[in-house]
Amino acid sequence: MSRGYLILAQNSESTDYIRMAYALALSIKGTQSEVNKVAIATDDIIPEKYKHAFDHIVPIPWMDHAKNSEWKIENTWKFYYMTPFDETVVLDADMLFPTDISYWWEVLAMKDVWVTDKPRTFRGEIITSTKYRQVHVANNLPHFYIAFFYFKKCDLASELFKLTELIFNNWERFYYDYLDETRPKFNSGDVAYALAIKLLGIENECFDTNSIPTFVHMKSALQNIDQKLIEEDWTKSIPTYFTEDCKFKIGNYEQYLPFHYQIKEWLTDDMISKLERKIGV
Amino acid sequence: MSRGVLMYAHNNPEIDYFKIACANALMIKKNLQVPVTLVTDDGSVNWGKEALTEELVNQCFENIIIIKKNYKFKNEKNFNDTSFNNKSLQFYNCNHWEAYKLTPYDETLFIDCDYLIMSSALSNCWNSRNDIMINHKIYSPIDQVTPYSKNIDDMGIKLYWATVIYFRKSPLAKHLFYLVQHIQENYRYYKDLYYFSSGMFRNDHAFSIAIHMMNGFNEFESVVKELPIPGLLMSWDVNDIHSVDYNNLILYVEKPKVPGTYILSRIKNTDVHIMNKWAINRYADKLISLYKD
Repeated sequence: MSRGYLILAQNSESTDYIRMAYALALSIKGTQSEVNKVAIATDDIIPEKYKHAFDHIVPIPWMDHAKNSEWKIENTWKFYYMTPFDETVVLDADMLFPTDISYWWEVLAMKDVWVTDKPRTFRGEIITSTKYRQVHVANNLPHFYIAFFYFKKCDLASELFKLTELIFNNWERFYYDYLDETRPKFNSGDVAYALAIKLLGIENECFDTNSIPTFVHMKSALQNIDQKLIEEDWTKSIPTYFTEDCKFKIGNYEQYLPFHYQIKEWLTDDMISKLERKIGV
Repeated sequence: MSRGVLMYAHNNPEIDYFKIACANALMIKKNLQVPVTLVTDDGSVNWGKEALTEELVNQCFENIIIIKKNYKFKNEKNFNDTSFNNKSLQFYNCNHWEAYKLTPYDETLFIDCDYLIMSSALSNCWNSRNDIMINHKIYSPIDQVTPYSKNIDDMGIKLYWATVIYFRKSPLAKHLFYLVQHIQENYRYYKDLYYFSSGMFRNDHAFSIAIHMMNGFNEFESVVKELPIPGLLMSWDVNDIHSVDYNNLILYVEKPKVPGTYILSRIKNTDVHIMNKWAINRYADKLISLYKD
């Protein structure tokens, strides 16, 4: 059974997602002792100097549904068809791995699909804010976080992705039929997948009370800190200490979990150089 | 295994910590039935013996350890006596890290002298399988009655209260106290690193940083455990004491958000941290007469 990480990365006008995916792949190579295969799904040109970090470069199947989009989520229903692995963890590009989480895979393999529903703050607390989850709360949707989720090639996952495809292609209709007036005015991966899980009635099969999988979600409003005290761009309020061996502290907190930095400018060229040096590039 | 309580008392020109420690030592003897060791200085002990008699002082403490004060250490603290009075005075607290070296006991309850022992709850610490126990949960008499945790700063680390620390002579406890020494000696650096707004040295902060460091700079799992009590009951320095009786104390508790108005609150058979030192000083003689043989 092959195992690996899948990153969907498509550059937009303002953001170089390929660069972020490269940094994430470097961090995976530099920290993961067992599962460290990385696949990138993209139709963009990957610079030659980045290619060594990816074990698989996968074209986006069928057509690029996110061609004219800034947010680039329109292809996220295709993970099942993109992945070259039997077991896959899907990651957002704007993440880094500070420590080895290889042992998670044996736990994750106990389910067919396992979704993060309890991300954490930089201090390690479970996020309690529902600021960005009004639709989920109002419609009793499971708290699906697309930034880190596991699936294996199997009937259940296949069914989930088929329904998600249907929702993505008819999202206005689905949102109108199944969500109340809090429904988003744009398509959202977290909402579409959550709705698919709810419609299939597989919440118990995709979530658990375990402390994993999880990740640190750095949206400033989610940090269990009074909003008056933290800027929307968290990097302006909380310092980062990034060491030569690519360990890092946010504020005074050493980070151990997959880290979803969210503010693209946080990732500096200096960090990428350190990540490269760590794996001997 | 020897067991006992260790307290510190260093008087300043207005707060008689020594007398407070005497009162609390007698309360400890009644409620916990263990010996008490006091760490103090020449000035405080001489004043105490003169004011309270040597016989009473000897009844309070099995050991008195006299240390030399470091007069270079300046630590101004604002002492409130309710919301109406406050005074800035010296607060000598730079030597708590020495508790590990100074304690004569294998198992020590290291208690601030203003944490009045009115129950046997802390007896449950003895023979604990934990090398160190210290609380991060606190509660107060009327408003926040459910134990809660605070952070040092809005974006800072978890605040542990060094008011009561249980420790056993062990490598882990030794390491913690040496780390606290290091933090105290480099406090200006750590104050900036951990964003303390005030320059005053607090052992709560030093222990919190030390524990944070020992936890690997995170809080997933702590190397120290909680004391076997729900939290520390705090009577803030805006409150006053109405009256005292045996294991029974009535407080004037300032109403939340209405300074200068009070609700009476009875604390019975429960240990309580009285932050208003003037208030305890006013009742110290009464406490001594209630608890001495």
